[in-house]
Amino acid sequence: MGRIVLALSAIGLALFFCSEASAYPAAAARMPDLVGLLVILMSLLAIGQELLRWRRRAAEGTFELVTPPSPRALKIGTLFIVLIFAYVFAVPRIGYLAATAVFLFLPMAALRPAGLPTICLTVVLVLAVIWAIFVGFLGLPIPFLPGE
Amino acid sequence: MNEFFWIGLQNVAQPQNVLAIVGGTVIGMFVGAMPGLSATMAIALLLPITFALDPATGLSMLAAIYIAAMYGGSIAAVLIRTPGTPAAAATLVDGYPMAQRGQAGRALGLSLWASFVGGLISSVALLTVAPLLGSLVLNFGPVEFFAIAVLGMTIIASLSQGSTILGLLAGALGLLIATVGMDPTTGTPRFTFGVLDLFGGVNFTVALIGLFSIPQAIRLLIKGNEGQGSRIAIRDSVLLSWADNVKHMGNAVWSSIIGIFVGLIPGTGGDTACWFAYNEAKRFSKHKEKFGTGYEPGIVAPEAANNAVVGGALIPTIALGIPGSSSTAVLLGGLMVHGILPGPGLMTEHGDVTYTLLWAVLFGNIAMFVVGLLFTRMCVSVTKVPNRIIAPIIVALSVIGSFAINNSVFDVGLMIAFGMLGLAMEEFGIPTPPLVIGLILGPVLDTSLQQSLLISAGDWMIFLESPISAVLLGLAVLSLLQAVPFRRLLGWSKSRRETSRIGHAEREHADRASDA
Repeated sequence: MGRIVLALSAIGLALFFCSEASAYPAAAARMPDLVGLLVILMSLLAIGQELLRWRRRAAEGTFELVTPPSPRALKIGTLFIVLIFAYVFAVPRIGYLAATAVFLFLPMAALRPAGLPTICLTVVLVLAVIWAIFVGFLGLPIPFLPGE
Repeated sequence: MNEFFWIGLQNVAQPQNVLAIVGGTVIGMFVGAMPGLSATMAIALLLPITFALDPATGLSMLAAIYIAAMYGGSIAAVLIRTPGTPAAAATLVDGYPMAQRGQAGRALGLSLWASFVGGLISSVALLTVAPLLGSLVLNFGPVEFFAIAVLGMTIIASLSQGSTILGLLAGALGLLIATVGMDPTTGTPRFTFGVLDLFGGVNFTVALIGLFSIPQAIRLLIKGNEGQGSRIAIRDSVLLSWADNVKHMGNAVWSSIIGIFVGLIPGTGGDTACWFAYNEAKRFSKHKEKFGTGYEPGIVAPEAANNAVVGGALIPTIALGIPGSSSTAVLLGGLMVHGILPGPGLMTEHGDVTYTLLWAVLFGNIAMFVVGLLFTRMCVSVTKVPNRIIAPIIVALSVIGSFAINNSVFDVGLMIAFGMLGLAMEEFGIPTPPLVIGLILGPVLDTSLQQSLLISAGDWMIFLESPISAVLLGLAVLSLLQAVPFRRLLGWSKSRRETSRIGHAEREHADRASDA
């Protein structure tokens, strides 16, 4: 099912690109038009292929529209993705240092791959290494602290 | 002999470059030894660190990381039955049983020596073939470049894992995304929606970091350390005797040749080469029954092949601008970050840097052997780091790495968007390497297409009038046709079913090993 959703999204994207390209000069629109057409064609073929696979599986009696992932894996994965988005949102607002410290600590503390002292030490070490390389060595102007 | 050949050698022997190679080797070996971290991801994550370095130094470091990560992958495979990189998947089949017998040091010694032989042979091939191919390419015009790019795309798509259709869909998506930004001929901003960060196009390195790091981090966090075997300590010596080296030389050389040829084919990489070489070693062995029980040739073959892939894959990357693997695509990204664009200029305009990179591959292999002998025992500690500690660190490094490229928060968002796209594609069985190659070849295709049509006043027949272009496009059609299941379409389904059953069994075997 996922492949069909992705193929349909690709068709939507290609149609949008083709419609936008219609306002461009002919030379600028040529490549997006050609590639857009290729994306639509391949997406339709991918959908056809997936439907044929479903038919074959249905005949074998092994058809399943969506294979349910394990609830724990789904929960961990979803929460981690949400945390990643929150982290990226927080970096320019509260600074890289605080955002990264919280981001590193939360999943480790929740899943406990090691003891709490080891986790805290890891967070401090990672931050120190990142600071040394990216700020100390590369001189990166990342907002390290809030208000920078 | 090209003057750049010697300039490259002089450059690579500079103390700062030797230091970068040794440093890159140590980093690559440790990263490769961490289960779940691939060579591609290591290069993508560490690419921003090379920004502050001179291009030759930065690229030497990246090449060393790539080479050492290939060997590093075998450390986890041998000691904890989990390949550190996908290219080490075949090594665990014989490496782990050997380690269980108390010969972990010997298994790693064989792996190190085979990696060294494979890397050395492929570096020589790279240093000789790439310049020859590069000089041939100098005679090519936009028509031929368009044909090369089309051929590269079709080969990558048809050989990628999964079906050809899905590979082509991923490649086409990459090409579509590559159209974002200023049009190369008219300067019209395309699909930028007024966002200044998009005027220069989608940053390739940002996309790479997202595509290769974020999905892997999420997978590592979900999986934890499930399925890993118990850790085995190294009690014996890693150093082999001269007689041992001689005994396995034939197998190592043959597997290296396999690795070089697999690397040459765009879209394939160390993971394909290691199984190919393993199967060949087994096929020609007098003791087939011993494979899988801790048999030494079963370690030598995949390790020689996966390191030989490095040089092989760099040949089309350097000479034609078509990456032979995901890792070389990232290396090409490294060149682009330093303002060196793929194409004929690599061997002429930027010949000094390019030849330094070629020599760095050779020096990197020597460094890998020396560092491997000294540090393999220390790498054992890295295999003990839990995946759930590594996962958030990967994300934190990806965020700061993508920011470092343009000092832009927009790029961080773009990286996460590509990460989500990569996750969705991998979850639904759509290969990501063709998307990456599409992103690289998109601007090449766009520019060469526009220039060709300007030359021909809009006549598309120009692509068939040039004999080189016609042959290359013919090969592109053939590469697509070979992937079409004609037998099934014509109703010869029985033999096809049997073939697929055999193929399925082999793939399941490989998948089981990779999953483990």
